[in-house]
Amino acid sequence: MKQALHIFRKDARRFWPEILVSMAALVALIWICPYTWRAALPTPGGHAPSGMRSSVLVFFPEIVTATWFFLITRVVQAERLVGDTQFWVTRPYGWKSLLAAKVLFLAVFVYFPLVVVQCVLLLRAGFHPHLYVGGLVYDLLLITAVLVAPIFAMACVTRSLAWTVLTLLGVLAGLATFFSLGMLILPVNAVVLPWADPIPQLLCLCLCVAAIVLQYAGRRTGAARLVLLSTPVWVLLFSVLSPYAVDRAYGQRDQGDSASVALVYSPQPNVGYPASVEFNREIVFGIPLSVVKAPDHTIPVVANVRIAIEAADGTRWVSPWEGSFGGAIVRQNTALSVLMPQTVYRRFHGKPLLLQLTLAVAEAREQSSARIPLGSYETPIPGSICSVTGGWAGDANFRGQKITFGCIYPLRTPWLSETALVSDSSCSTAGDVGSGNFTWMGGLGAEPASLAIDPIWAGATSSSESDEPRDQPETCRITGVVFTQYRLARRVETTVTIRDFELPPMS
Amino acid sequence: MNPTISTHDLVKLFGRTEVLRGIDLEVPEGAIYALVGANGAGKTTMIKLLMHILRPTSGSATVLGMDAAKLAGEAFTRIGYVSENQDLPEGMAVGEMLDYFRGFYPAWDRGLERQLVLQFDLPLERKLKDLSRGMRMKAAFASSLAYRPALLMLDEPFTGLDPLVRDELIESLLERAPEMTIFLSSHDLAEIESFASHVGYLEKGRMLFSEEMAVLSERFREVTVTLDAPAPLPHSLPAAWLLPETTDCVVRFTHSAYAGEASEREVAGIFAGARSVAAEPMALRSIFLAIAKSGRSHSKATRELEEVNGRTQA
Repeated sequence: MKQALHIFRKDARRFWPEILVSMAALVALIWICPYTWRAALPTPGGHAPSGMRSSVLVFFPEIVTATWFFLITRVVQAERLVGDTQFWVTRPYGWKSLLAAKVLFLAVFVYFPLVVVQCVLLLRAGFHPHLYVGGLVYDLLLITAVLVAPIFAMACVTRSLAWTVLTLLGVLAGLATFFSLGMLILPVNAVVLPWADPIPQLLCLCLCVAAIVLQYAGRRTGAARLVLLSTPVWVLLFSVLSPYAVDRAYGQRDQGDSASVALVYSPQPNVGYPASVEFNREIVFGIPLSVVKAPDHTIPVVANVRIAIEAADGTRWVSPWEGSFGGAIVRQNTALSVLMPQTVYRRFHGKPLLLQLTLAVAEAREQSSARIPLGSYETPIPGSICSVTGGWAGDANFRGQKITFGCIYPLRTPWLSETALVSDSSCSTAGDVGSGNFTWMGGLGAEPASLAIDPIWAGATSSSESDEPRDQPETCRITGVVFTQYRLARRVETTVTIRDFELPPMS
Repeated sequence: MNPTISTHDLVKLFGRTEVLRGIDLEVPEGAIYALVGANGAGKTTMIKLLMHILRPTSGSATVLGMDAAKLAGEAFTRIGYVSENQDLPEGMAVGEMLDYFRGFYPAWDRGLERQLVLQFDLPLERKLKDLSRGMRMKAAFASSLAYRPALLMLDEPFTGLDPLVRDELIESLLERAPEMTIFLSSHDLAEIESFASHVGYLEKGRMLFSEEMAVLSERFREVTVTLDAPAPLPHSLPAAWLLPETTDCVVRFTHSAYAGEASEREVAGIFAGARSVAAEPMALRSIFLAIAKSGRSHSKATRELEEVNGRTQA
């Protein structure tokens, strides 16, 4: 420990300019980030920054990342690990002490200031940091896995800052190629894994840590580089294994499980669900589904779908697990999009089919619901702070009400949330209830934080409710919104069987 | 007494290139061992293997009784290493560097440090990156001597230095030589000759010889044989006779296994009509050149023979 402190003190003295720049960029976030949230929270005075200014400021956290890149690379390469001419390899450095010194440096000059700034930002946004300790720690882990550890590992396996920059550019180019190829090869709707988020980050962290330890323990640059270069192999393996993970996560619903949701095929008369070609590749078409049974205050979210079709002559085709374009929320007559290759479509089109849908369903249960009147500014509701503005507006093209609803969320993207407009009794016979679904946002991921330097996430949406006919007086008045948040209750696998189904014609 | 350095069948390959070929070496405690050889002979690789900067392909080495392949951390509190190719913490001033290194060595002698700073006239406030090559080497020497290492490894330490700096460094080494073992590589034979106690000769990755300097000086003689009349060289000469050449009535060669009267009798036996035989001691440089030249001519002859064999078989 004594040696680690000795090396740490040397680094702190030597790299004070880099530390200063990094700190300055980080501290600047305290003033800059609120500008970007304010843009999402409608205010009576409208003091949101201009679009251009706001879009420039949005990228400021990336500037902080860039300063970290230079700081970490310089500090790691002060005791370079690549090559055979370094001064320190023939001095009494213990590798554990050296690594500990670098980690201590990160803790003091990267993590500690970051946590302080994040706490200040949470406070400025109106959230008490002590309520979000778990999220702050989780965010640090994500930042470590996705930013700090990769930078550290790259600095470990490169000879100089210039080489590290070149490597970074190479990695970015490689990633772009990899994902472009992935988009060409993989189906348009990739499988959505229930545990997708932490696994790639964990994998990235493990590979980086392995490379770092290999380098510090024995300066095995070749092996360390090989470990880092093996990343695409792991990602491919991960992709190949993904469908098996869906089965494992959703399991098979018990036949007697009365608490689960039940879905049925519900075609509407005079409504067509034509097929179309997606991205010039697969055929996509909708299958209308409705909920016939669901536990109270629960909605089904279809995360993945598998389709099996069988013709009268016994010809059969079963798809692999498909994603459902980010998760489809099924209420009444929701068209669930499914994909199939064009060859399969041509083979089965025009024949009566037995179709079986296997659905990986996440049951989302209502967690909280808050009614926010129009003209509320920065109103705290569970897990967020929201504002609603709006009123009558009219011009040559439009006459009606424009509603803007915005929220900020601490540390993570919002939970799955529904925003519904509320109107007064003059609007409909239903009276003071939601006059319509406004928007859905967020997701069911249970992580306490999403990866970000700025701990505040913001989202805003607008709605224009026209008041028809135009010559009528302003009668249907929007009075506010109902904001309902959902949490994941459980994951189940369920099936829907459709007899005499015919693949829809091409649009 | 255990040798300070010992290697057994040490081999190092870079890809398919064999840089060191089965080196066996022993450096006794207290020796000033000079490893000599032409550029590319494998001297630096040898030192890097001993310092665990590189890993051997096969074979083993011990340094101060420790396995060289495990040399790390605390072991270096007893070893000093200075190399012409070694990086230094460039961003630091000389004083900062000494302060920093001091923290790593329990046996660091501040008095000796001050003495070395004065002796080398080191500018403590100046950054290492702003120093001349000579000054940087002096700073490296000071930082490697101040903790009184038991073993000092020097890789081409005097290459490119002006004579004044070189003499200063050698002088400071010799002052401290009695308390440590010094292992250095060099191709500057004149400077080695003045103070090395042992010498090893490395050629193309092979250790041709490794012995005490005094024994080596005794072993090598430049022999001049004066004949009564011009005569061609006999077809078969002893292998220990290097670079034999004849001019009129004079035959010259380097005897690499000279053993006094016995060798003189051997020469007289081969050149029966010799008028006189003179065997002169040789400078290290001359020995080095003789070995190098004979090695090259041997290689050339071998290559030519292989080519002839190849053509014949074809």
